[in-house]
Amino acid sequence: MSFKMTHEQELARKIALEFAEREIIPHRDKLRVEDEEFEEQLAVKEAKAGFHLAMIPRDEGGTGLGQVGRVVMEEELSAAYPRMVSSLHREFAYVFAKATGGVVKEKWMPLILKGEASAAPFINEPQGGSDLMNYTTTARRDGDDWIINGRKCFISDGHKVEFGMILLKTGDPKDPATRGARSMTAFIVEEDMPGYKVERVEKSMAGNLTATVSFTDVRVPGNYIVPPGVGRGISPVFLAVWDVGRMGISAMLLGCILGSCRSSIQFAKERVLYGKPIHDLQAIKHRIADMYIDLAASRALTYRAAWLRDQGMNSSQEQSIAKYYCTQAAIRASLHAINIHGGSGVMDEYMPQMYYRYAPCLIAGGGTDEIMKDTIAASAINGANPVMGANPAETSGFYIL
Amino acid sequence: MKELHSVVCIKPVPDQRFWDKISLDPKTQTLRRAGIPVALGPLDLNALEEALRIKESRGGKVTVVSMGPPGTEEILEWAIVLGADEAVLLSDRAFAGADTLATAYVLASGIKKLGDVDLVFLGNESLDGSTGQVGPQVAEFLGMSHLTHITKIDLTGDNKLEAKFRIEFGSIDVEVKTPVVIAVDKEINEPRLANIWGAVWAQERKINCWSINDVEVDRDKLGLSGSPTQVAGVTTIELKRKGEMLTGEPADIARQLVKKLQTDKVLPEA
Ligand SMILES: Cc1cc2nc3c(=O)[nH]c(=O)nc-3n(C[C@H](O)[C@H](O)[C@H](O)COP(=O)(O)OP(=O)(O)OC[C@H]3O[C@@H](n4cnc5c(N)ncnc54)[C@H](O)[C@@H]3O)c2cc1C
Ligand SMILES: Cc1cc2nc3c(=O)[nH]c(=O)nc-3n(C[C@H](O)[C@H](O)[C@H](O)COP(=O)(O)OP(=O)(O)OC[C@H]3O[C@@H](n4cnc5c(N)ncnc54)[C@H](O)[C@@H]3O)c2cc1C
Repeated sequence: MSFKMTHEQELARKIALEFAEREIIPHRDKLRVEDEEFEEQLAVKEAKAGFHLAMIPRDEGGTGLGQVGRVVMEEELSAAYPRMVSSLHREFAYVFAKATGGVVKEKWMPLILKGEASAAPFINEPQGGSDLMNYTTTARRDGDDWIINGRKCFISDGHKVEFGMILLKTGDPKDPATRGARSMTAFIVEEDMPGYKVERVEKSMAGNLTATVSFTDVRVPGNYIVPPGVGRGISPVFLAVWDVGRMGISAMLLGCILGSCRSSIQFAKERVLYGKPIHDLQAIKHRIADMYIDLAASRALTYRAAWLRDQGMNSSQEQSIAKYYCTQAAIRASLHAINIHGGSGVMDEYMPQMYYRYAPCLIAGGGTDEIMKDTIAASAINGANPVMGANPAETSGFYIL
Repeated sequence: MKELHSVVCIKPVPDQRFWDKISLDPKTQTLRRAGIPVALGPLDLNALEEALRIKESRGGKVTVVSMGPPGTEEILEWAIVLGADEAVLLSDRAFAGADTLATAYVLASGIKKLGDVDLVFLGNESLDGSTGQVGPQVAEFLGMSHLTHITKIDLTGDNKLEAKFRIEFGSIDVEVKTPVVIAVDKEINEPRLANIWGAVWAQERKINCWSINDVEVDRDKLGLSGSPTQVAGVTTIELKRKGEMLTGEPADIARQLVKKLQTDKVLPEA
């Protein structure tokens, strides 16, 4: 058992850090006001730097750095400024294209490798995201095609992505064979399909993160159905939500914790009260210690969940634990950072308030706290080994690294 | 067009982020560098960038060469991360204590061993020693022409190029035949940021370590004993601040302050 990063992973962190030091940190004022032109340019630079290629194996044109390499990079980029890192939606694009295969993969893969395509999971619906069985967006068969109608909301970068994997109701409530989980099918939808419309960008406490997208008689070809196929939509959607979503979210939360630590240490060294830097005050020291404990624990959980995936093992339980813990830790750490900074902590020009506003935005994405706990409890009760945790090697073949 | 083989000489210098931790040992007259991370010098990054751009536009390869103690691999690896194809570390106890001439001698012997070289790039001067002598000296040892203070290069043929160099009140354009040694200035380009592929290249591309046995050299021209110049003494300038309190009404203080700054020639006389 090894807790050491590989040299390659360490270099990946260094590359991301240098990128952040030149391309993000000096331009925080532009990100703060959501300067769209700057955000677009930054996303292009991130694509050129190749951050999105980690989950793609070498023989498919990626760097093969894996989940650990990816988490480490996204952590550094988010520490520089907390936001939806552009690599996240490019990773979704890869996982969706690969899972669907055929024409979808042929069409999108070359663009994905260049960082010119991104995608989002279109799962959540306005009437209640956690209650999947109550979803109402439907697909109806029409010859070889399917016709989609309905609405999905809180879709991260929904206003920016080129395509998505959408979870739709295809079953007949009167037919016992296609009820419940068997009523759901996953499809690929593309932004230029007639009837696809970005209804609105939702304004959150940390800026424009998500959008509502509506579908009016959107015609989708049959080969845009994500395997295993009709009535089997839950499994591909969930695997994507875990590996890309929850791991990516945990990485962004690690960024909030790391950024809170860095800004607090710097401030505690520079701020002089009673003739001494404030890190001499025991109360400040203890806040710093608390933040570091949270950083260490969150990293340990997240890196391990990522490492298990790189070994080809299922880590859905570990990922839920990491996501839940990182959310709590990021909120705690950013609040400590605000406290350490005194009044400056809530001011626009200082970073703590930004981490504190961003961290809670990640509570719901990828499943709420309650849903995380439900999942963790279910696997605990159903007999996952509490010492080792990891489940046996995965067999679905959906996610291969 | 012919593909070009460029060599870039890179020197390990103390990482600028840790300069406040460096001090001078008054006894040995040397810098106390222990524990200070090394980095690629800023102009060496420009030199590497120019070589990488030539490779990208013309094909060919880039080899980085450094003379330094063990630990110098770190900057060679970073050059690979940035895109260099091969790296050579010239390291041997016999090379230690070299002045600029003995440094250039070893670098040139390494470059000779590499064989077919079209362009040799260096920083115009290093961040620490800053003599600007190594480039011209390497050129002499290799029997090549050299250009210094270069701010622009245009490849105009298979074995010639045009270059611009800075003079006090303007610039001069020259045309030279390759092979040539080129020492570059900061204005020549904006060094790139590393691409994530660099982390992969660092695993795949090799750093060759060459000792005295791997290069053809005359032992008498190496290291401290082979150096015609020796450091006779180093003086550090002590910076001290003198404080003075000005009192009175704000407008009055401002007037006093301006007067003092004029007396000290910080501000021009009214
Ligand atoms: C920033 C952000 C990004 C997002 N990105 C995406 C995206 O890209 N794609 C996408 O499809 N969705 C996305 N979402 C939506 C997200 O998945 C949903 O918000 C989430 O699943 C919760 O759904 P809801 O908001 O409707 O809350 P509800 O499901 O209505 O939940 C309300 C409350 O009930 C609790 N609750 C629900 N079920 C249970 C239970 N069984 N036991 C106990 N308590 C329960 C919840 O925890 C919560 O406290 C995003 C959300 C945010 C905020
Ligand atoms: C009188 C004297 C005595 C010295 N004694 C010692 C000593 O005892 N011990 C000691 O460690 N150092 C010693 N040095 C320092 C050492 O000689 C210089 O660091 C080295 O020769 C380079 O000189 P510079 O930094 O002025 O290079 P410059 O000529 O300013 O450098 C120009 C460029 O040359 C290239 N270059 C320079 N050095 C190297 C290198 N080592 N590898 C690859 N490329 C390089 C780089 O591209 C650099 O940008 C001495 C220097 C002098 C002048």
